[in-house]
Amino acid sequence: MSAVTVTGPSRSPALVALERVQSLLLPALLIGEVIVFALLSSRFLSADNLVNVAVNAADIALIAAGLTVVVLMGGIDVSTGYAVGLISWFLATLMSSGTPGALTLIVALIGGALLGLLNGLLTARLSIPSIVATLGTSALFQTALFALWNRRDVFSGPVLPFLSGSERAAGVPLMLLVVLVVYAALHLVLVGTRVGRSVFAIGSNVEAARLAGIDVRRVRLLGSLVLGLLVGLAACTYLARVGVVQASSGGELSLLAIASVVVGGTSILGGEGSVLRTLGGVVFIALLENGIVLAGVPSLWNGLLVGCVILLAVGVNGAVVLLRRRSGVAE
Amino acid sequence: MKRSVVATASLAITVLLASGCSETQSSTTGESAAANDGGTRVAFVSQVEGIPYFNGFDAGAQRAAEEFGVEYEQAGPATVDATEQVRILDNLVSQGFDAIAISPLDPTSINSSITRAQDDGVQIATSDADAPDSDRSVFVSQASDEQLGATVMDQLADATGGTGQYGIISGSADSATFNAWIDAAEAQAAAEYPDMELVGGIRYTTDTAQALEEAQNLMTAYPDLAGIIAVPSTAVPGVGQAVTTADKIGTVAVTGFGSPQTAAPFLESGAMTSTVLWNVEDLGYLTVWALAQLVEGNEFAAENEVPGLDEPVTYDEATGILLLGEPSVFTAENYADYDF
Repeated sequence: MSAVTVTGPSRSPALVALERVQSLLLPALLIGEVIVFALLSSRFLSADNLVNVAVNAADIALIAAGLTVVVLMGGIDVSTGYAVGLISWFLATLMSSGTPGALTLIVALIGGALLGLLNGLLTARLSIPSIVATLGTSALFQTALFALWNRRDVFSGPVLPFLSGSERAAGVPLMLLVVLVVYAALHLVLVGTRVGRSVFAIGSNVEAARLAGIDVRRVRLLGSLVLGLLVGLAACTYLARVGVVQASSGGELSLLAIASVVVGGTSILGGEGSVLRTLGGVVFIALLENGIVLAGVPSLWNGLLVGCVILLAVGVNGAVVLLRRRSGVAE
Repeated sequence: MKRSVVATASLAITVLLASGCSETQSSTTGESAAANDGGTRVAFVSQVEGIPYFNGFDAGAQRAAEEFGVEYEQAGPATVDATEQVRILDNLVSQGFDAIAISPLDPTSINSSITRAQDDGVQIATSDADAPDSDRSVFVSQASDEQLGATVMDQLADATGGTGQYGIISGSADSATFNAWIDAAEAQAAAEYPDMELVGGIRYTTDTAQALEEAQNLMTAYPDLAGIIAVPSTAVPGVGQAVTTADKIGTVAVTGFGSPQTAAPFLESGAMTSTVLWNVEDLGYLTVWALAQLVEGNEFAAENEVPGLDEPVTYDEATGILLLGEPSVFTAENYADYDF
């Protein structure tokens, strides 16, 4: 999955083995998870349950797709959850005052783009480390949501029917197709276009990318914009399934999205990974949350398992980087 | 790990932001305090002004002020801010009010102000929330945790015919209030409804979306589920929405502790059978009555007839708690009468 194909005599057998572990970790975990939960609960694999899981995971999936692009460039965004909450408040307020759904969707996308660009400008233009910049904006978004909410819950129906779980084609929610289209499009752009290759190049080595004539700032800004647009779309699917906006709305999503990217196996250091792996990470975490309840296990196991899998994924990833450096293989 | 760095840093930033906002002005409602015509003047310090809940409190309190011939003023911070609340209390004390009630945000940092006020001869009561270790004269309590928990269980059992599996979706695991309500509900089930069975344990959630997912998962895991209790106000709309989208209105009964306005759409659609809370207007009314009694130096009896309230109000001398009474049950028929 690396941008630069790595070959050469200096690759040690240990490194080769570890790289294989890295690429097979997620598929193995996913298969193991499905088998265990299917054995523990007969309802786990029922169509109704899987549709529920998919609809509930849609907003995390959309955020994680955009986040992958940012992480591939060595960045991070911890503000996505409250960005969703904040945008959702505006959407719910617009919807309850009778604004047409299509117009509300446009507002969602513009709102998301603005919040994304704010993060992008802070990190790409002002060179503030993305973790710090987005912590700051996350606190701002949260405070703004709290102030706007003012202890008055805002109820709203779906922005557009196809963005809720209820509209289906052959039993499959249309919302799910939207998510899959987003992933397919992002994947094609990342692996098949110049700007996609620039993303990997920046993540692997910023200086080298700059020397190769890549406009690093512009590509970074573009990444934040893509994430922002997807956050706007995620606000629509979030509102459609939850139906109400409160002060805590969306807050959970930030860390779940990051966890999905990391569990998927995209390197938190940048340069290595893919959106398809992230989709696997989203599926893993969504099935875990669901399966644990169905299996009748206390919910604290959820945190334990997610935590262990994150550490495992990051650990394997770190070991690969270390071995490569030691054997002098170009990343 | 990164997460703890994230948590620490976000906490630091939040604190910075919060302290930056502490210059907010407080808002007051009611008459200006400057006009002292010699009558009794009482005040209440809310947790935050301008929200439906404390507006409801104000409405009831104003009604009582008219009834009992006292002057009432309500003040509170514009944002939830414990330091600002202490400042407002100190201000009201120096303005010469005869008695002041407060709903403390932080039950410890307010204590020294309460002691000082009592030393200056101003009667201080707590209302809505207590500061049990302070020198307050009385705590005007909305309803006991035991009664709230028992009432919600009665509501659920009533809707399910007293039998079947039920789930509990709570908020954060360390909330003493939620845990007390749940304990009381389970105790009521054990005592009165032996055929009701709690399934899935207590599900702790942090927001609406999580409550929605937990409710869906419970309904999938237990297809015969007869009811769900939604404990925090974040869970109420989440569970209501889950039952609605699962097409289980009428099959899975939902009750909980939401304000009538938060539960409104679900009471209307039938997704929620009822919601249990207290009548905040009556709480405001009772608080002003209690303050008037304190100013006149009247002792509370074990049972007090309060003109304007339907039920007698009990007083527990050992704990100094004046209890408004039974919790209120809000249903599709009556929720619209309440604006909180």
